[in-house]
Amino acid sequence: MKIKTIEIFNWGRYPKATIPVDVSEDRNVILIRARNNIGKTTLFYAIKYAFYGKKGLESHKNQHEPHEWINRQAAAKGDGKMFVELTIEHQGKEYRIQRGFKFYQTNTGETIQTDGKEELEIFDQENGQPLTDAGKENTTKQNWINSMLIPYDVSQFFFFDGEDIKRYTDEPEETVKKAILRVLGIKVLTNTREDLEHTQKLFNDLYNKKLKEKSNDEKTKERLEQIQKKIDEQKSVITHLDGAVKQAKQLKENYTEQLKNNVLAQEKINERQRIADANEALKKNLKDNEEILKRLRGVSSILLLEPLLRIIDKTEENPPSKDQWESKTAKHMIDKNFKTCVCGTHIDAELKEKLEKKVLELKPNPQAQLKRFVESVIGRTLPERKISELDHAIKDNIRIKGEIDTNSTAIKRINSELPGKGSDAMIPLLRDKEARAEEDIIKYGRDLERAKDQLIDFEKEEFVIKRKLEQAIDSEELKTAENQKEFVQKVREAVQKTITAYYELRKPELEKYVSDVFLKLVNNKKLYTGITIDDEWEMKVKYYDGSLLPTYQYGPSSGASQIVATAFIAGLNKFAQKSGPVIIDTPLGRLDDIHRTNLLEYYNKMSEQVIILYTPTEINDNDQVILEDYVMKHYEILSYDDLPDLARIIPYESVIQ
Amino acid sequence: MTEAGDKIIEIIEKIEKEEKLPKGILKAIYDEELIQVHKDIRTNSVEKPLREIIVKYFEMSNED
Amino acid sequence: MNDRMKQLTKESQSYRILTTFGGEDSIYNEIVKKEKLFPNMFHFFALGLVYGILHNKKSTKNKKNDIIRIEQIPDENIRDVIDICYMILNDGRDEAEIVKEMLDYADGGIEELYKIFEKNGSFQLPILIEDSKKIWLERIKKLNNINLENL
Repeated sequence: MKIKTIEIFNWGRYPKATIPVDVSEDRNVILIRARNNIGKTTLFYAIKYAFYGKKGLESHKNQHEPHEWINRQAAAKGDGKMFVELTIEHQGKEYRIQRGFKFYQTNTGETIQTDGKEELEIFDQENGQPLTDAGKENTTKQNWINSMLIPYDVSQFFFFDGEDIKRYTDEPEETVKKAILRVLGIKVLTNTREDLEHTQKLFNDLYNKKLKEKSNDEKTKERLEQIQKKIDEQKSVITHLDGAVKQAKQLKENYTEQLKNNVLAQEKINERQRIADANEALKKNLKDNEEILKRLRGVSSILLLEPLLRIIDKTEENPPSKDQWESKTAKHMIDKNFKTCVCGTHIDAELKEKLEKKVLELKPNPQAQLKRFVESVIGRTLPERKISELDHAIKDNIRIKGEIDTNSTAIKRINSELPGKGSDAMIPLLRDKEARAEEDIIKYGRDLERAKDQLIDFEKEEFVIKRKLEQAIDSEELKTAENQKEFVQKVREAVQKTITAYYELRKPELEKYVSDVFLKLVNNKKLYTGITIDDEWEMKVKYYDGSLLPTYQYGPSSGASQIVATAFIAGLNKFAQKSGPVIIDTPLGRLDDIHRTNLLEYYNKMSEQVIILYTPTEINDNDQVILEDYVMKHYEILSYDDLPDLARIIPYESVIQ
Repeated sequence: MTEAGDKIIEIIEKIEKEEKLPKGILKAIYDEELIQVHKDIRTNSVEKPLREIIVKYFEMSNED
Repeated sequence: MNDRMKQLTKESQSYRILTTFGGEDSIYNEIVKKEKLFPNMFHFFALGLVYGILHNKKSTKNKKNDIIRIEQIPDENIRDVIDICYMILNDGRDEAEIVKEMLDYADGGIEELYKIFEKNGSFQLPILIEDSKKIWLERIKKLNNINLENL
């Protein structure tokens, strides 16, 4: 299926717009460029609305009702109509889908009123008449769209927001898994298996009815009824036990997961404690260091004086004069009661009197005093050594504070990762719960096995009783009923074999295709060897060393997830039972340059028709060169010069046209 | 029909042969189910057509 | 220690260390009592005194706050600093006058040091000490009792 023309009328910002979007085999890309908030996403949702009505609007952030998309200016002017129309080509035939509402004049700011009846029409373009195959009611027409074109839940793999597709790399939601099964056609087969089980029951009941009708053995018939009742009851018991086992397994899985998180959390708590202890020791060191610094600051006046002391220390003392020397010597000999003079003469009374006259009233020499004082201070305080101590103490102080800071940051980081987890009480509690869940699994499992064995016994007994009744009856009708019953069983087994064969054939093919696309798109090709898909449709990235990581853990950036998701969608597209256009809003989001180039080179391969709605920052003129050979048409959405609230779509002049 | 759909048909036809079922029965059932799968809520409306297919092909297999 | 100097720290003749920057909410209180950066007030005083002389910064603001009597200072290192500062300022003036000048230098030094502290969160002592080497070479020319011949 491809879209040939899009026409919108009074939808969002668009009073009216018609754009041909048909493509050829060689040129299969349509580019539509628009700055943000001009009407790009409005156009995207117009297409989804045309196909699916209100359901198509569900994925929008806040506008989920069709009336919220009616052009306000048009409604303010008067009564009118809003519609979106797609002309499509499907399996060689052309159709036109038109969907919309009549609305009433509504003042700006009020909720726009419609006539409440959505108009949906599918025209056969060959004759311009409504398509009879689609029926008369909107529900049958919608069924036609779902079955013939692209079903709604599968459309998420065809029409998507480039930034939003990261969710496919998260743990797949049930709805996504179901959609995947439907895309691949497995859903049809599993439905068939279920329905045939029911059909089998019908034929079994038919046979049983015939058996009872044709037999005259009332006693045996009664036994048969009783055993069949037991069989039904036993099947209920089995269903219940099966459910219990599944529930217990689920519970155990949950506890195991919680335990894992808590154990990891506990490791973090232990690490945090180690860091906290180290910090306490550091704080003690800091306190000691600060005491040392305080003490050294206490002598900082001497340290600041030290250069001056050095200078003074280098000064020369004025040598004493002869008189000063004689005076000093005489005084010394007198004070010490010398018997002999330094010249060797005996000191008698006469000489003593001469010596006393020599003693001068000497004035102290301040320069000499200062110098000698400074010498003694230097010798006592050792200022150079203290300066060196001060340097070390300051460096230690900075180092210790730095380490304390680093540790505090680490503790903060751990705390932010730990809210509500890992308390000492949690882990034993969870282990206990996990163990009990395991016990339940074993217990219910055992009961289930016993119940199944019992059922087999009942069925054996039923078989014997039926044989007994059959042997007494000679009836073609009964034989036919029995053969039909066996025939249905054979058909059921064939369907199961089909399912298994399809899984075994297609899943590896899908996996390989997704892997190949992924490796084409990815940046660091040596790091990865591909993608695996498990039975639950969860994707994992395969590393060069063989390890596997769920894709939601693979790359923290949405860019990396976008690559994985695109590869997955490309795979599903290829394998889908439906073909259709791929329409991408915001294709390149926040990707780096290499990923962007890889994706741009790949997009044209995604489908027979690819429509890309982009902003100028995502695909600039240089990027367009990559797409040059594939673009059929290039449009731009602009506002009207005199009416900035309204939008129009015009051909875009770019480097590639 | 897409390549994926073709593959399913291929497998179905192969299994039909292997299991010696009347030719076309599995495809007939599959086509019937295909119509239903796109409905939002599955109903039991496939019950009657399925039964009719079974009976029809059963009779065909008896004639062979 | 010379006899003149002995008198400054002798108990019999006492000089009080007075400052503008004492009392509650003062620089001395903040630095010594709150931040606990020095063991005692007189340690900070001594640093201020040396810094003031080094950079020739005086503060003649009214000195109302009493720190300690000079002769009561128990720390020999601080007494040595005060004695040396007295000697290099002693140009023969009256002792009391020289002591007053010392107190002005001390307050001037404290004021400047506090600006450094406010700006940097520390006194940056290693930098002050390193810078002082050059500054002393010039400053010494204006100081007393130092024989500059043959230096």
